[in-house]
Amino acid sequence: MRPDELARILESELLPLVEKPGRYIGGELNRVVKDHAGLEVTLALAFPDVYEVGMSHLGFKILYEIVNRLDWACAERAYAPWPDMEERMRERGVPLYSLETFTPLRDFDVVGFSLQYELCATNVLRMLDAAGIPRTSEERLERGGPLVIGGGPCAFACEPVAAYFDAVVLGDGEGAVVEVLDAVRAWKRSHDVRGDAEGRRGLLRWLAANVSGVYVPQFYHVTYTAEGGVAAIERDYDDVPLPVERAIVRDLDTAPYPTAPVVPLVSAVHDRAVLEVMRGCTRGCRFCQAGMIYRPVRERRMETLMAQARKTLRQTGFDELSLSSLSTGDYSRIGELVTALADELRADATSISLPSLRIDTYSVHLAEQVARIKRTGITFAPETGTERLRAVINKPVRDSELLEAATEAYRRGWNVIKLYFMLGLPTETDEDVEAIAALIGKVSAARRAFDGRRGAVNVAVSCFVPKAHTPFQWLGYRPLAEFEARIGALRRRVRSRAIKLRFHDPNRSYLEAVFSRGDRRLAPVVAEAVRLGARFDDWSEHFSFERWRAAFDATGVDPDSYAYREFAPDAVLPWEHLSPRVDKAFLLAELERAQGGELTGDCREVGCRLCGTICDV
Amino acid sequence: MTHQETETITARVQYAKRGRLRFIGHLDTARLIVRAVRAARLPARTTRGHSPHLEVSFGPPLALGHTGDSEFFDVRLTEPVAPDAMRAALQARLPEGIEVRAVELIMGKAESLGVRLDRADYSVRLPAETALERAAVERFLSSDEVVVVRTRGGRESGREKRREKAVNVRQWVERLEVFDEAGGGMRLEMTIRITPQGSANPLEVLEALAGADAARQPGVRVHRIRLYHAEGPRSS
Repeated sequence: MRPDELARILESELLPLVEKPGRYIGGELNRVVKDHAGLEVTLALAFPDVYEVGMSHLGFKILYEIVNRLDWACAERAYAPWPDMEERMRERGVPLYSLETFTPLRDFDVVGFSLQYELCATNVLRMLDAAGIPRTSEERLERGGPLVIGGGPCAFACEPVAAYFDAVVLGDGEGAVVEVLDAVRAWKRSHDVRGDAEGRRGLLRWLAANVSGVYVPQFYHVTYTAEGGVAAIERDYDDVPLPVERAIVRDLDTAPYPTAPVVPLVSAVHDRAVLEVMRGCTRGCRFCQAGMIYRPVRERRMETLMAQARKTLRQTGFDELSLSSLSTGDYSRIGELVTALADELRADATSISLPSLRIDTYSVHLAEQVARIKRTGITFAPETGTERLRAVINKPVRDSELLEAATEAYRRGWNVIKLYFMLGLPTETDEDVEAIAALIGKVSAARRAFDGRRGAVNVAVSCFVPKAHTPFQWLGYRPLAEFEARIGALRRRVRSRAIKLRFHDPNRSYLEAVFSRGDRRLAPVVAEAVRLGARFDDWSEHFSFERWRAAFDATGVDPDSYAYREFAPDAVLPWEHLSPRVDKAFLLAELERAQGGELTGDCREVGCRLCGTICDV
Repeated sequence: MTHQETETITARVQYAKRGRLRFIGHLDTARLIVRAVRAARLPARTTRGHSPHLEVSFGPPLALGHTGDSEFFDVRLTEPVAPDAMRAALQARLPEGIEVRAVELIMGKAESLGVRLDRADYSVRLPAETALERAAVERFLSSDEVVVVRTRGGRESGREKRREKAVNVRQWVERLEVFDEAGGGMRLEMTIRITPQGSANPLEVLEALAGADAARQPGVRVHRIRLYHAEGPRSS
């Protein structure tokens, strides 16, 4: 279908009939439209969630910027159509297209998916279907089509969806995206990389052998043990890496940054300018996958950040600036940065948000600086109820520190404090859960100290999923029945009307556990779930546990064996061949320390802990 | 309440909303206009208080899916700006589909857009297959009351329940004419009153004339030709 024909059908027949049609029209401020006739390589960035979610994602904005700076390539965008639009497109025979030029996705050289959470896999398949692109790498070898490449945090445990990708990029995409597109450009001159199996395999082999971070699943073979575990992961060729090591941008300060990002037409989840103050975190919380796979800490210079803030706000007109990172409170010049930004942005009422602060009174001081422009919420994440269990997860926050911070926040004018907790952490007991209830009560009571009222507390409780490449990767998900019991216990113990409790669905986390710890034998389950109607599984209104159960039954896969499985220390892990450049020996030592309740300090404070990453500590 | 010491300066901006941009609603349109005012670094006033924001106000909302040639918003300024420069600065920060047509500076007290604009002229183009009897137009005009059911809320608006309400749309329709289009199909033109008590959507008028199905066809194109005041000289 030609782009002009596609646009005409959209406008006159489909868009008048769907919800929020602004998701599907493109035409935003700062988008980049190039004529494909003058280009050598075209890339479609495909986000497997709806426009408002995808437009909030920083990673894609960075890649969009980098690729569109190249004069021989373009990056265009596509998001998962909402079910009403997906159905109308299918009925009318309109293929999934890019928002920049209304080009069908199947006509691009490369389609790149961001894998932000495990259950987005169903939307990946639906987007491939909607684009008319064969689903699996194997089918595409036969029938042709774009190269389908994945990336993002789930790349490090992508085995359940590996069959659907020609390549997966591990780690920072800034350098890898240019190297990959440059290789496609060179190969296209002498080969048919879309249609010819030999050309396609040749290119993929070259990428695997030469571009840091590129994993080509079809060049690796997995065998299984009689007990259901992985026996071995072997490569087919000596020149493809084993393990595949993640790509790392060493100098974040000089890395390209999007200061004129596309501004969404339809209100996005995060409608604001974003500064990435640093990447990586060295706190070493043992449950946190991001803290392991984004090492080491790399900061941007304050001068760089100030310049990027000014430019971005001028190019977008956003009224909010978010200081983003895994732990913004740990930025080495955070106080100076916040003061300087607040002084400058106050004039035109641009507010600042600090999404990840530490639990201490200094954080309240920082939050107050930005509250002088516009007061936003204040959030603390003690994770669990006891100092004992916080030592197990290596997050050494004292109850007294939390209560001091809470008291200070109420005193400084916040009416509501938000708290994050997790259930199902390793070694958690009923006493730990009771302690969560007690701690929430103490936070609420902290307000009494100065005005006699109970403080409002909003509590979000999630279910811990042991993730690949963390010290807890060898452990299983806690039994569903235990989650139900502990959620019930917490509900019974928290009775105050000042406290609002919200729980993450343990069934959804169970599935997340299956897929984040799974292997290649799960691929048919995803396909079956899609056949049964699964999509937008991160949206509670679309998620159906029953449907997933039916998909497991139909494919004869036992999800319990994946969710609850514990791995022996010497077992081959399903993600053994995918390396974030953190040593397994370090993770195992951390698991042992966790079981002994021993803390491991932040390496920026106590010196190198030998995690194995490439860094300057 | 703020800046009482200085004289009020209002930039009244006339703009058109065209093409694919008709597929974004009023709130999203307002958001992108406020962002354009900010990005253009105009000397816009901000409110004080816990949630400060730019003092930008909008004329009567244009419904999702409708285009408009003469829409309006006001920006309160702290100092005068050259209208042409302001027009160009805004245009550079707006997506394709929003065209800034004119900027007028009003020194001193400005009547709000809500008061200023109480009439809207619309054209509604119907696809060739729509059967609309001219007699239906006659019947509509000769009645005092023509009721259609208005639906509000529902999932997409974020509200839990859909609410239905019967409204008499006839009360707001001041003029209604029907024309044959050169390429087949018909075109309605109408003048609709905008009152503090409410107004009619031109599609509700079409529904009253030809039924709900006719009004829901994707090929129907609604265009707001102009917004104005019935008596005022400042009509556009």
